[in-house]
Amino acid sequence: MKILFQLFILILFTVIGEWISMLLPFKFPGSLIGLILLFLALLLKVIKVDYIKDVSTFLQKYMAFLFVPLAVGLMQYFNLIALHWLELVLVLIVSTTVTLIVTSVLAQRGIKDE
Amino acid sequence: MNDMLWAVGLTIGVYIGFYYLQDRFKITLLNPLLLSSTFIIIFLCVFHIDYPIYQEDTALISFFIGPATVSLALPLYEKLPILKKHWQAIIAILLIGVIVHALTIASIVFLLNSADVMIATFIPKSVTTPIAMAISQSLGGIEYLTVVIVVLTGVLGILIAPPIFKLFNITSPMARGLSLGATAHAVGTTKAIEYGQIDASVATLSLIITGLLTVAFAPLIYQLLTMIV
Repeated sequence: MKILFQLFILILFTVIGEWISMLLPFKFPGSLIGLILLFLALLLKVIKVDYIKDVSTFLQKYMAFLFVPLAVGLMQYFNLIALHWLELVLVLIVSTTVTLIVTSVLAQRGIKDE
Repeated sequence: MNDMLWAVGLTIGVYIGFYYLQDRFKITLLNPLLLSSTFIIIFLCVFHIDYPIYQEDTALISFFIGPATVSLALPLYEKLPILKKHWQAIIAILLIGVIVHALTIASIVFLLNSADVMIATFIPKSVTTPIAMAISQSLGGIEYLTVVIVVLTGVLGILIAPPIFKLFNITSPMARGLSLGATAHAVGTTKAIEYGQIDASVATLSLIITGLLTVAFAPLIYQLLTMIV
């Protein structure tokens, strides 16, 4: 029952998150609300680490796998990619490089480890 | 025959195959998500199966994205001591990262005179896939494209990280972990693990906080940018 119980807790927080998200006057992802609520529940010791540990570790280990069906959905957008390939490549290379340099240099200078 | 059986079975089987291929050769570009989805796209095209059918038959897999995202609360909670010690610096640097990232994207979209929908699709590209998808959806981007770009960003990020760290003399584990998590999300974490324990913890923390900061600020940044662009 341990695994089912852990899965139940995670689904419960997902459902609550989605539900709050629907009630909000602005758009905010429900799964993120669930994440924040679960984090608060952990902080307040309402939820113990043991209540979610195994299933969380499992889901995070196979996170990439969960996205295969969505990534396959790209096949509906081949026309769009053909149209925007140049900016795709540029955005990918420029923004990734710049962000990596900025964050690493700032952290190297700004955070001193003891 | 039950269609869900073959669709889910195929997806798992193909993923296992490519997972072991990368495990065997240790080449970043052989990303299992990238290769599996390419393989399945070709498979569906060859057998003339429409995406909506495959999508419906694999809904079981996609269902777990929500709970998996929520479960990220656990590593955030477990890495809390690191955050407590340096929280001002960490949040300031990651916020600058998020803004710089959005600005470079907007500049390129602007220079190429492209559509606002592309900014919405690109802005979440440096955060972990479930968060990126949610942001893309709420900004009105093309979520499928976002998912693929997120993966490509992660792979590119860890390819360019070692030469960049060398060039800019980045030696602190905090700096390596923070920047890997901020630019290359969960894929970056796999690289951070190779560097060390502190790198890995900081990268996990960094990817979740970057995700949350992007969620909080993306709508505002997006509105400002589309006003200018």
